[in-house]
Parts: sequence; C-alpha cells; structure tokens
Amino acid sequence: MNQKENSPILVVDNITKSYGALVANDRIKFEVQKGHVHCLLGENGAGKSTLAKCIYGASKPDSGSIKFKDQVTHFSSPREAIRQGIGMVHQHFVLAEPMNAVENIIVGEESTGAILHPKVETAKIQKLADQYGLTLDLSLPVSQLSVGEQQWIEILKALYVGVDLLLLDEPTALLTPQEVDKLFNIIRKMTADGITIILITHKLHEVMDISQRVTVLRKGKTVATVKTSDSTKASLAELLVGREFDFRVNKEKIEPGDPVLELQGLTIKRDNGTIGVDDFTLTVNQGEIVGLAGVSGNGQPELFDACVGVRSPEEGKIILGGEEITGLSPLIISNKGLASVPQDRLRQGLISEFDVQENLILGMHGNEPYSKFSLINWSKVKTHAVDMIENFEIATRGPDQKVKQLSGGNLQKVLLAREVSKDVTALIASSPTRGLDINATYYVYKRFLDLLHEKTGILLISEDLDEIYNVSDRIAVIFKGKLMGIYNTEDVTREKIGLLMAGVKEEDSD
Amino acid sequence: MWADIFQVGLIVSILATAVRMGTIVLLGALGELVAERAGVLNLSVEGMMLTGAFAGFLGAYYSESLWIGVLCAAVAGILISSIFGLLVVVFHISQEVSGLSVNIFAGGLTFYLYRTIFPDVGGTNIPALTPFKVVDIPILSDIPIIGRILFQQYALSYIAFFMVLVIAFYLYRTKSGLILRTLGENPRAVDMKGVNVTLYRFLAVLFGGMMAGLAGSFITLASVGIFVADITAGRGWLAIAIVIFGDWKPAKILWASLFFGLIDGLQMQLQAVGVDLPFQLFLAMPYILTTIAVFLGRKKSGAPQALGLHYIRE
Amino acid sequence: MTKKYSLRIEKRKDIGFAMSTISIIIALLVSLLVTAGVIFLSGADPKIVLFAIAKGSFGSKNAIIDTLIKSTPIMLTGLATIVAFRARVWNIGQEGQLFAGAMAVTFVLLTFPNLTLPAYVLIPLLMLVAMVGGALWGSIPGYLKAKYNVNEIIVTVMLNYVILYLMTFLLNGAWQEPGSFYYNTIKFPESSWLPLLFDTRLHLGFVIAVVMAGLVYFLMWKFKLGFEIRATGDNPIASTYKGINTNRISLIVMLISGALAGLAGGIEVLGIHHKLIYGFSSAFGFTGILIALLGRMHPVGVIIASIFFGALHNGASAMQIYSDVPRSLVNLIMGLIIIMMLMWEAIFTYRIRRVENVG
Repeated sequence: MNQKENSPILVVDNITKSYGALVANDRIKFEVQKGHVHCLLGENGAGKSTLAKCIYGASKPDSGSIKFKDQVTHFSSPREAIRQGIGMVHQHFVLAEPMNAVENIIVGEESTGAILHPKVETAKIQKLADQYGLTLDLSLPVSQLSVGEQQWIEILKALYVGVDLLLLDEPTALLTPQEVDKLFNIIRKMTADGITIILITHKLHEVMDISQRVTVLRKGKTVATVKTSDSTKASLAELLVGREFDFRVNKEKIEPGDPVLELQGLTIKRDNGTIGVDDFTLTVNQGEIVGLAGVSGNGQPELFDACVGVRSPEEGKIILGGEEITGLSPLIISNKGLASVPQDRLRQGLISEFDVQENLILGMHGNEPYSKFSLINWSKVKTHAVDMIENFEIATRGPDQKVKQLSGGNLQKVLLAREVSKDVTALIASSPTRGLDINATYYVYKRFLDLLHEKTGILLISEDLDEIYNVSDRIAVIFKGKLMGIYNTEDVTREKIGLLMAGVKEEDSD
Repeated sequence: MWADIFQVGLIVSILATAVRMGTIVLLGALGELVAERAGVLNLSVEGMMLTGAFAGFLGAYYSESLWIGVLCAAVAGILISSIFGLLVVVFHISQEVSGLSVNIFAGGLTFYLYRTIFPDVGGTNIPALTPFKVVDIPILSDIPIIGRILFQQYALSYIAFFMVLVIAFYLYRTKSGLILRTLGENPRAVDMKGVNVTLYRFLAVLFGGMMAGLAGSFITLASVGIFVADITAGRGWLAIAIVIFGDWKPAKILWASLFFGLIDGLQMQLQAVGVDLPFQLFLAMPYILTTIAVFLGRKKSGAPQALGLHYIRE
Repeated sequence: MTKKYSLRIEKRKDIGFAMSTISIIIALLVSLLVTAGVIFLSGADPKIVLFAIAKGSFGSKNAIIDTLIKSTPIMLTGLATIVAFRARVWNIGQEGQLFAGAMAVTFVLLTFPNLTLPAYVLIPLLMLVAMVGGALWGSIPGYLKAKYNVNEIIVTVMLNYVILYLMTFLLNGAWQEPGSFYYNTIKFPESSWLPLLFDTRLHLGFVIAVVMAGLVYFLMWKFKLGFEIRATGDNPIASTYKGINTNRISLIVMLISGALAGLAGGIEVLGIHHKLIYGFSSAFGFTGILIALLGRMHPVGVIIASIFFGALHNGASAMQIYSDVPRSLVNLIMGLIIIMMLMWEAIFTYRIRRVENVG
C-alpha cells in the first residue's frame, strides 16, 4: 500500500515501555520524514535502545502505537519488520567471523536459493556495494576486515533486503573521525536514494553534521523534536541534560609527581603471532590521568594484558613505582600495587557465580588478612565486604548475593571497590564507563579523582574520544600498536587526535 | 614374522578391514560433526551408539529383516538424542553435564531392556542372527586390490561414504547448510534473520543421534551378529575425537576414520597371524593412538566458535 | 477497551535453595512413577518390586551394612568427580584411576611379600600408595591439559581402556595366582586387610570415605586452593586476570581427583576382595560421575547420593528373589533420576507471568 505523499514515514505515538519498575520509555512521541536523517539524541540510559527495539520489532511496547507508511505496525519479530522495510544496524555486530561478507549477508535470506550459487550472489552484492560506495573485499573472512568494513556488511545486510527505513545504533562508537566521514557519505547516498535513516547517538557534533531533524530523549521522555538547522550544539546540550552543560569534568589541577607507571619500548605479540604493540613508550605520573585514545583493535588489549601480567612482551620494560614488573605474574603485579579495570567486566573481571564478598577478595584471596596458611578467614572477608558495600554504595542484598544478579553499574562498583581498596600505585582502566548510565559514569570519574589525590596515576584506555577528552590531563594516541603522539589535553584539538588515530602523522597533515 | 605381514594378501585384508571398522566411527563422527557445526557438543555418542546397537539387533532379531533392524537403530538414536536435545537446546542445561547424563541413561536403559527381553542369556545360549553379507559392486569389485578393499563392503559402508559426500554438499553448497555453519559460529546472526535457532540445533542433534544409532547397528548387524554389554567399546568417544582430529571437515574426518579403522583392522589381523606380542597391546592400540592423535590435533582451528555455548536471546 | 492478558514465560536469574530442593523432590517422584510404569510394562507388579527394593536396602541390619559397603567406592569416585568438574575439568577417567590405585597397592604387596609391618602402619601406607597410583594416572591427562591444552575428555576415556588392558595383561601373566584359571592374584596378607567395624562386615573404607568427604568440603570452601578451583571453573579468564594460574589448577585437580579415585580402588581391593581380581569394579568410576551430578557437586550431596545408590543396588539384589525384574533396573532408575533432576531444575528456572496485552 502506498504511503500518502508528504506524510511522515514513521509516526511514534505515545510509546510506553517498562521493565519491571523501570519506565524505559514514557509516552514517546515524534515523527520522521521520508528521506531524512533523523537523530535520536540522548545519554546512556535515556531510553534510545528500548525505543529502537520497539520500532524494529524486537519488543512490544506496553502501550502506544507506531505507524510505518501510514499503517500501524504489529511486528512480532525483527524478521517481520525487515520484510516490511525497517532494518537495524546494531552497535555490536552480529557476524560469523570465519565466514566472508557474502555468506554473512545471504545466510537465512528468503531470496537465497536452496542451492548456493556463490558467483551469482557475490556479483549481486558487489553491485549493491558499488552503488553506495562501500569498498570492501567480499571474499575475505570477516575476522580479517576492519571494524569499519564489518559495519558496512551490517549495512549491506539491510540494503540487500531492501529497507525503506534504517536504524543505526551508535554507529560511530568504534570509528575514527575519517571513517565516520566515510560512513556519513554513505548515509547521504542512501537518503538521496529515498531511504530514511534514524541515527541513534549521544554525540552532538554528529547530530549537527548529518541530520535534518533530531528528537531529544531524557530519562525515557521526549524532550523535544527540533530542526537541526535551527539548533546549535549548545542548544541541543541544554535539551539533553536540562541545564547549561559543562562538558569537562570539574577537576582541580594537581601537579604531577613521580612516575608511577612507565612503559618503555614495549613490543607485544598477539595470539596469532602478529605484532600488536610496537616499540611503545609512555609514562604516567602521580596525580595525572593519561588517556590513551585509539580505534578498537590497535593494540590496546595487548597493552593492558602486558601491564597486568597476562601477556609477556617480546621486548621492552614495564616499571611500576620504580620497580620493574615486566613478565611477572598477574598475582605479583597486583600485589605490588597495580589496580586494573578490564574492558569486559563480566568476562575478565568478575566471577558471576561467586557472591559479592568472594569477588571483592578475588586476587587478594591468598593474602592476609583474608587468608593465613592457605585457610580463608571468612569473617574478615565478610567484614571487608560490608565495608565496601557501604563505602561504594553498591546496591545489593548483601555480601552473599551472587554477582550475576547485579546491574552493570553495580558490577563496576564491585570491581572498583576491589581494585582501589588496596594500596594502589597505578591504575589501568579500559573502557571503564562503557554501558553505564550518567550517574554511574560520574561516580567512576569521582573515584578516579579521589585516587589522584592519593598519589596514584591513572592510564585510561578508551575508545570514546569524548571521555578521553573530558577526563585526561594528557592524551596519547595508539595506532597499529605505535605511539602516534602525546600531548597536553589543552594543547591539542579533537580533529588532530582523530587524524592520529587514523594513522596520519604530523608531517603528513596539511 | 615381518615378512609374513608384508604379503600383499594380508595388506589387502587389513585395508579392507580398515574400511569396515572405519565405517562405525565414520558414521558416528559425521553425525557429531553436524551437531557440533551447529554449536552443540554431544558427549552421549557412546550411549547412543550402544542403544542403536541393541535396537538394531532387537529389530532384526524379531522381524527377521536386517534392514528393519537398521531402521530401528536409527529411530532409537533419534529418540535418545531427543532427550539430549531437550535438555541442552530447550532447557539450556550445560552441554557436558547433559551429554554425560544421557550417556549414563542410555547405557542403563539399554542394559535393562537387554536383560528384560533376553533373560536367559549366557554360555551357549546367546541370541544371534545372521549378519549382513558383503555386497560386491558389479564390475568395480573385480579391480585387483582396490576392488577388494573398496567395493566388496557392506551396504552400510557404501551408505557411510555416500553420506560424506551428502554432508559435504549440504554444509558448503546449500542454503540450509550455510545457516547451520553460521549457527555454530554466531547464533545471534541467524537469529536476527528469523531463523529458529532452537529448531535448527534440535534437528542437528537428532541427525547426530540417527547416525550414532546407525553406527551402532553396524556393529551388531554387519560385524558380529550378536549383542553383548559394552559392545561399542569406546567407539563413540573415538567418533568425538575424530571430529576434532578431522578439524570439523568431512573429508578429513573420512581419512581419520579410515586411519582408525586401520588400527582396528591391524589389531585383528596381527592377532590372527600370531604376532608375538601380548594381545592386550593390540586391543589397547586404538586407544593409545587416539590419545596421541588428540595431542597432535590440539591446535586445530576449525572448531565452531559457538561450540559448547548456549544461545539465549537477549 | 477491555484489558487482555497473556501468559509470558520468563527466565529467573537464579534459582533459590528452596526451589532447588522442591525440584529435586519432584524429580524423584516423577522418576518413581516412571519406574513403576516401566516395571508394570515389563509384566511385574510395581508394588512388590519397590517394596522388595526398600526391604533389601534398609530392611535389616545386614541390609544397611551392605548398603554402606556398596556406597563406599562410589562416594570416593563421586568426590573425585566433584573436585575435577568444579574446575571445569571433565575427568571421565575415574574408572582407570581407580584401577591404577588398586594396581599400585597390588604392586607393592606382590613386590614386597615379606613385609612384616603391623596393620596400623601398613594400611595407612597402602592407602597412600593407592592415592599415589591414582594421582599418577590422573597426572597424564592433567599434564597434557595444563601444558598443551589437550582435551581431557577424550584422553581420560582412552586411558581407561589402556589401563584395563594393562591390568588384564598383568593378571594373565606376572601377577596371576599360580595354578589359577581366573584373572586374579594371590590373596593379600591379613595385615593389609581393612579392619571391620563393630563386628560387622562393614570395613574401615566407609569411614575413610566419609572423612574424605569432609576433607573435600574443607578444601573447596575453606581453603585458598578450593577458592581458586571454583573460580577457575566458573570463569577461567577472570581468574587468570586476577592471578590464578588456571593451568596449574587443572593439573592439581586431576591429581586430587585421581588420588581419590585411586583410593576407592585400593579400598575395594583391601576391604572386600583382599586380592586384585578382574571385574572387581562394577563401573564404580562412571557411577561416580552419576553420583556427583545427583549430589549437585557437593560433598554432602555425594554422601547422600552414594548411600541412595548403594541402597538401590542392594535392594535390586533382594528384588531378584521376588520377581524376574533384572538388577539393571537400578541403572535405569539412576539414569532416569539424573535426567529428571536436570529437567525439573531447568523447568523451575522459568516462571509464568501474566502480562497485559498491548493494543
């Protein structure tokens, strides 16, 4: 059935969705015009993902309706939504890594014949890719493609089926500014072709760059829908948080002291034998936060692993508080005062079946006072846990609650409590606020600042350039394992950092 | 002694036995391959094989038709594996624990039924039937040496070889096979495309069960013609090892199965020839070699990335 | 607009202790029903059979003694399984490690026939020997896994067969009792026989097994090593990041697991048969896995489950007097119970909620 001319392609009318006591979407209301790039702007936890799920069929709203092309939608699954013309590209890609782009795109599609014809299908997809300027090798296994290229596969999946409306969930989170430009060009080509794009983001400059309209969400409610041409970053920011927004975390300037963590000429190999980190040198001093910016997969995990002791460098030294710790075991390094917050909370940092008190002593379980002659003193463990729960405001039933029942923010609090409640010489933190709402995020930053006052230095590894910019005293950039440069935050622009993240060195840029 | 061994006739005999004995593990391994490619690790292959062996024997014994027996074995495998499928794919219980439990259950069930249905077994009174006869493929079986090895085998062996081709074609050239392979690497990817992950995995498990049942039937119906306790002697575990050793690829699994069949065959023929080593050493040989094989295969990269992991839609 | 409701099935995040217990009880009841059905279908009277089993297991002092005797080896192999499985090391080799323990004891007694040690020295020594034997056999898959990441499932199963054939070879050769047609050794000296308790047939092994259960409990929940074992089993990656050497843990659990299984072998040989005889183990190793699963991977559960199993076995023997139902009914029952248990616990992790329908 054809849509009426000039009517909006999507009408979201009073959508409400709750998860238990949490009202994730509260009477959300807005319209999207055909051929527009329409941004959904909101902080983490504002309700963007929930709303997206309702639009593309992954969940049913509790009340309200969504009209797509003048028809109320009753999608029972994302599959049905795609058939009707609404697709979604997720933040975390859903790809089978050993298989190539073509296989990932055609798998499970109705248009794919019962017997596969690789040449025919590859040609079809190549044509589509060329049409929108997506340059990638369709024959390579996905694991060998860059993050940007993997994202294009996700976009191709939607284009292959032929969508009219495409949702993109925080698509630029893992891209360099240059890759973002490329993506935006692709988006412009799509809208020129009549495809409508809904871009979910929390980044103001993206909104200004690419969209015609933006709907601002805050705490589950629609704040406003405005024309981008009528707005500025400041006006959007005000809508976003409801007050004059100070972008930078309020920090007293602390004079940096002695070095606490020195990385000297580190060369580290990956599991598959390739070089992950290449002759990397960096020093973190007492009282400062050094932010390490870089696109995901440029050596940060290997660097983290080496500092923590899980991986041995091929060459180079790591010095903690004046003592060399290169190649020592994780236990020893931790006991010498290196606190670490890994990227993947549940996988690398916590034991989900263990309770809060057990997780709080993980890594220190062999030390006094928690254990003597290998016998664990459970009453001391419990006392410590009660203390930490209060101190760090961890929302839990008690020390014996299994950690897997806690929310993301509280998991991070348990991790932090564990790491900073011992004598800390240096802290290395990888994506510490990923997935946390704004309150939890600022709590983490507050704890970091407390550490700085206690003569600790922090190495912050993050893929979120905004976070690095807002929090660090100095910024270093890593690209393909090499140090591209290190600057005082006030002396360098975001664009410059972006270029370095993409491998463009000083001498090469204009 | 060694001169005796290297007589051509003996070698041909050994190789022919290799194909025969290899069929058992091949059938089991092919079934397990499909299940594992879908991401499900099924440790109950041994139990399913045993049940298949018994069901096959029972069916053939009472119906006086060997092929009915084979059918019964296949059905038995499907039924037992459906229990495993239920536990793992529907209830998301640990795959290792479920596999071991179903293994124990299948063993108990089989043995109980055996004793109930044949209460007076022992000594000279062992129920037996006439097993399959070898089927000569016309013309091809007359080729010297190769003919004897490859084309004078049991019908079930030919089926097994054919299944290698079928499964290879299925996995790499069909839409459904692509879905299955993707399922084993990233179940969420196919779930988002509307594929019923639960159903696919369940069917893959059933297929594995059917093949294990067939493998068991080969032992009782083609090899010996009787049923005794533990007649499978660890071949179900061997099948699992072969999937690893064969890097989850049908062709490599075929070669690995034949190799193990060779060891089995070698063991029998060398005993017959009267080689002067303790016969227990020969009996132990397949197991020792499997251990070595698994050690050599420890760096195999073909394992499906989602193998052994549950998929629960967020 | 009238409100419409539909039922939605949700998964709980965790199942509480109460729910767990209820699910076990339901599992047992359903298994009982199914078993009664099976018995009925095979032509016997379920009431008689079940009554016979009950009588045979606990109906008399002798019955209870027998039950405890039968529970001993499987209690130990069950404990062996717990230690390994809790670390996610899938040891399926308890059978072989049990043989290794028995063979180690045999080796010592046959090699030093003129040992004139008093029982209170010899027996603890032999217990130790059995544990060492089992630990050595378990160290093979343990080392392969720790150093080379070789799949322990396959290796442990394969080694079961290898050591079985080795034992057969020895029992048919160097270790065979002169003049015997069977696969057995000479009888061991009386000073090596496990003492009997309270003037009954119950031997010291039962006490040893229960003590071991206590030790395993302490290890797993009160000691640093147990903490690390459990951590490794649940999340080897996080454990590594926090300083636990998971490879070392894999090896250690295989040593402990092997030792416990070996001890079971030594006890069976010194407590019951007083010689090494082919077939002395009626699948004690594999049953240990069953016991560990039924006992929910906890020492207390293992004690209960092993006594339960011993009772069933005893009862089954008695059952033979009253009916034609074969003893292997016990195997079927146990298999049935474990599946039921898994299933019902899983069912209980879901709950049904009434949800208002969206317009």
